[in-house]
This record gives sequence, C-alpha cells and structure tokens, in this order.
Amino acid sequence: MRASRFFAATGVRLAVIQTVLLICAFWVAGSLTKFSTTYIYRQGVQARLASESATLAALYQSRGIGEVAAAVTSGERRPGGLEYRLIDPGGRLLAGDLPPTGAPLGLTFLDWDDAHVPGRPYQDLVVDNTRLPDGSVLTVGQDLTDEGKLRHTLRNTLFWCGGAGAVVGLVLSYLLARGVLRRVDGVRAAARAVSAGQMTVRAPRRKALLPDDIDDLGASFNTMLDEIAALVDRVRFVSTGIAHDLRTPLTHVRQKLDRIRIAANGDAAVLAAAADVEADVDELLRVFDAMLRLAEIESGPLAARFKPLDLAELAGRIADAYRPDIEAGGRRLSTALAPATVLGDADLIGQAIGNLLENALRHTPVGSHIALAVDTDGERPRLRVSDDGPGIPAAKREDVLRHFYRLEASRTTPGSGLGLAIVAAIAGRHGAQIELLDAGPGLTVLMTFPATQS
Amino acid sequence: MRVLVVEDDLQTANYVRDGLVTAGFEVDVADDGAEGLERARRGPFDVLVIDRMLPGLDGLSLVTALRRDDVQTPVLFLTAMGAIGDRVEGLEGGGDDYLVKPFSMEELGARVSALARRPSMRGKDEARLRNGDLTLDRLQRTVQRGERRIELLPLQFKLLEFLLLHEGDVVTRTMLLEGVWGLRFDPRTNIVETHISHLRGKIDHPGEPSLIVTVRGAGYSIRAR
Repeated sequence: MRASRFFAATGVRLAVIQTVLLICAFWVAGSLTKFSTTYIYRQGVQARLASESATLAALYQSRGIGEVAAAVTSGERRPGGLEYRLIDPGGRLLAGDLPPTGAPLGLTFLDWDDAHVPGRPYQDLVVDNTRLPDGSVLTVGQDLTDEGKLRHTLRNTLFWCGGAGAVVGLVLSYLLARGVLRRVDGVRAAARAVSAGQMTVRAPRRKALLPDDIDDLGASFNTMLDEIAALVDRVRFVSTGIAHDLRTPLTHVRQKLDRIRIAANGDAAVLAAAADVEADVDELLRVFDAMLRLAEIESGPLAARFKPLDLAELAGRIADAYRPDIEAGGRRLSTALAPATVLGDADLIGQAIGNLLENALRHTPVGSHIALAVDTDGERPRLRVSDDGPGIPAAKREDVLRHFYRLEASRTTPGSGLGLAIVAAIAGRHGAQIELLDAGPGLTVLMTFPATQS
Repeated sequence: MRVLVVEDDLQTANYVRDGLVTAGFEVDVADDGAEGLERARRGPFDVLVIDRMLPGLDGLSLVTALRRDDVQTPVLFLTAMGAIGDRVEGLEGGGDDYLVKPFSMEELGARVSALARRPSMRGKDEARLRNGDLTLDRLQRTVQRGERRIELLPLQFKLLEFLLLHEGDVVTRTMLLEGVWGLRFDPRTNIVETHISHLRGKIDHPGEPSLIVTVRGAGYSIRAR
C-alpha cells in the first residue's frame, strides 16, 4: 500500500517538525528560567555581601580593627556563613580563612575552580573587597556552590521534563497527524474511485460536534460529485429518451417499407423508391448513432471498463479487415506494428482506427498509399495513420476535429462530419493526445497514449 | 421452434411476430414485463426476444429474474437503447445477443435462428468441418476442396470457419463483423462484401455456382448438404 505508507511518512514528518519546535521552545524557556534564577540569586548574594561589608566597616569606625578581626573569626565559624579575609596595610593576614583572591576593590565574581580552603572546596566564588580607613583590606566572600547545585537541579528538571514532553509530543502529534491525513486520504480515495468510473463512491462523513476544515472539504467534495452524477444521469436520460423517441418511429418506417415492398409485387419503380427511402433512413440513423455515440463517449464513465490491450494486435486486426476494401479502391495499405500496451476499451480504439482508415480512404485519390503504424516513444504508445493524399491546410487542422465540421472539398461525399470528432473524443477518453501533422504531402493523424505502468 | 416476443409497441410486436412466423417459428407475444416473465418461466421457449423499455417490469430486470430462477433460455434484447454502456449492461445482465432498433427483419431472423441452435450448434467441437467436397481442418488449419489444397489468409480461414459453423443459417453482415473481425461499429465501407468475394475466388470451382450464397438484403449462407 503505497498510499498509506506515504501517509504515515507525512504524519511522521509533521510529528518530527512539531517535536523539534517543542524542543526549541523548551530550550528557550529553560534558558530564560536559568538566566533569571541566576540573576535573582546573585542579586541576593550581592546584597548580603554589601550589607556584611557595611556592618564590619561600621564596626571598625566604632570599635577599631581588633573588633573587626574578632567579628571575622566568629563569623567564619557560623555554619552556612560567609568567607572572610582581613589583611593589614602591610599585607599581613589578620583574620579569615579565605585564600588571596587577587580581586580588585568592589564586587567580583570569580571562576575559582582550583581555589581551595582546606576541607572546603569552592567552585565559584563572589567576593567584595573593601579598604578600611587605616588601609587594611576586608574581603567578604560567598561560596556559590549552592547556586551551582540549584542550576544543576534546574537543568535536570528541565531535561527530563522536556525529554518526556518531546516524546509524548512526538507520539501525540504523530497520532493526530495520522488521524487528519487518514481523513484527507478518504477524500482522495473517493476522488480516485470516481475518476475510475465508480460514480456512486463518496468521501467518508463523520459525525462531528464541531465540523472542521476537512469535514467541510469532504462535504463540498461530495456536493460536487452529486452535481456531476446528476449531470451524467441527465445526459444519459436525455440520450436514452432521444434514442427511444427517434428509433421507434424509424422502426415503424422500416416496417412500412417492408410492407410496401411486398405490395409492390415486383414493380421495379416502387422497389427502387423504397430502396431510396431506406438508404435515407439508414443515413439519418448513422448520423444520429454517431451523435449519441459521441455524447456517450464524452460524458459517460467508461474508464471502469478499461483493460490493458495490445495496440499493435488491435491495429493489425482492423488493418486486415480493411485491407481488401482499400485495395479494391485502388489504394495501398501498409502497416508497421511494434508491440505497445494501452489501457483502454478495444471496441472504442478499434472504432477510432477504423474511422481514421475510412477517412484516409475517402479523402485520397486512387493510387494513394495509406500507412498505419504503432510504436512507442520509449514510454508512450503511439498510433499513426498517414496518407500521401492532398492533406489538410494547416489552418483548418484544428477545425476538422470539431463536430460536424467538413472541408468544402468533401461536402459532396457521404459522411456525417463526425468521424474525426469521434476519434478525438475517443482519444480524449483515453487521455491520449491527438495531432494532425503534415505528412508532406498528405495527412498524418498521430495519437499518443499515456504510458502504462506495468 | 418457439419464440416469445416481449414488446409493448404493438406495431413492432406484430411485425416481429409476422416475420418470425414466416421464417418458420412459432411465436408468442407478451406486451408487458410482468406477463413476459410469467410466460417465460412457464415456457418452454427456444429463444426470448425482449425489449428493454417495458411497462411494469423492464427488460433487464426480467432477464435478471429469469436467470436467478435458473431459466437459461437464450435471450435477444431488441431495444432502442443503443449506447455502448447499455449494450454491456444488457449482455452482462444475462442477454445473449443485443440488437438495436430500428432493425431489419432479416437481421433479427438470422440472429434468432443462431440463438435457437446455439446449445447444439453443429460441429462446435469438431476438428473437421465438411460441406460437400470442401473440408476445413481446424487443427491443421488447412482447407481442401476436392483434391485441391486451398491456401487461405488467417482472416479468410476464420470467415469460412464461421460460415461453416453456421451452416444452413443466414449469417448477416453485422454478425460477421462482430464474430470474425471483432468490430463493434458499422464501417462505412464494403469490408464484408470484399472479403466474401475474395474468399469465393479461392474456394469455388470455376464455372460452378458459389458455395457461399448471398441472401438478398440479409447476408450470406452456406447450405447444408
């Protein structure tokens, strides 16, 4: 099932895109949280250090350096307290455990991985250096290990929550996308079935409290199909009606002619007149049949009957049927047939080939050569009927494919003017391109069919 | 041989009845679908000639109902519904032949005869078909007339074979177009006439009347002998 695989792939793609977006959003949110947490924490630390420095500076003012050193020593013993270092103007250590930091005056954040106080590893450290009025320097520091721990916890939390969120998101969005795409595929499958001639197939409907875009799409699609089906039905109904209303009186005419023939009792003049009327009736019927056939080919869902067929075999059969007649008419028919498979209706394509051969026979002078060829251009099967007759002027070539169009020169020859129109309609039904080309001299009709997947 | 004609148009029904009676059939006529179904069920008939557009029960439903009841009498649809789709529908719905109105009595007569004989059609499985001093070997794909070996093109062979299989019957132009060449449309040329004339040129004894008889206004026939 290629369709469902594609489907799943689209679902996967959507899910991956959504998950990547989710992870990005999480990363941005996490970074912002980390940044603001760090900021607030450091603000607190900064305020604490500033307040401690100010307190000790005030103590120096009132009690002198000795009291400050005592306060440092006792402060250092407080559990969870700050770190201190107090040196006199000569650079001697008065109190405190903090190793020299080399930091300037004021607040400094140190990335001090290898700074150690015995028994107390510091990771990061923030220090506040204050010069006291006598020239000694007081350093108050705060170990930032706690901040590190906080950050670590935060990162772990974000990682696991984000990871779990991403996995859940991936699965959920995959399921969601698959559900949506499955519904779209329902519409697509219906479209395909209808193109293949199953006019009754419709896109699936679901009972939804709040119909969404896809429900809307399906509903519009079904409305469109209903319209088309009604149109096809109407055409068919009209065709059948015309057929019945015209064929019944014509049947009666035929029957009355039979009775006249019997009543004529061998009267040659009456018999000839009857034959004349019959010929007219037959001609009328032929045109009328051609019109109905044309309407059916152009409107009917015939594709359902298409089968793979060997174009060369079919063309060969039709050529064999026509050859004696073409030769009896003083013309030559040659064939060049290479195998080519076409998906189509053998009766219709047969009729197209027949019409083209009859056309060539009717519009070429005695002694002409008609060539029928089947080949492929590598992929696409091609059918070509050429003659070396008078051809069709380039400006008129489009016109002859139209209904009832006849060139001036052929007004007097029998024919409905629908032969090539039927060929064009049959080509259209099969998705084949039809081209009228200059065979120099003469006309080439080229039908190029779509490539068939084997 | 008995034929049931189910046709609501009185004029056509009478015409068909008269024509088939002249051709040697015994003919019953029903003028609506329900009556037609009833009579066809009771039978027995050799062939049913059924219109598709009938009051009451349409022709296609009639035949579907018959086939469901396992009535296998050959059916010829005689109808104004001449579209390709109608024809396919008719044949898939259980019809054995399909003739579009207006029709010639000769065509109808020939097709009804062919259907009437169908189950026991002469020589269907025979390897050799003989007619007078003509022998057609279906396995060797050879034809012999008296001591003379005749070389035929594949299509000429098929044409002769078709005529021999319908020996004693009239075979119409359209029956030949369908049966021999597989053409489902009416060519505007003399395809059949030309092929027959070529075939005659090959198989006939010079100076003798042709083995293939032209039946005026109807078609061709090889007489049983």
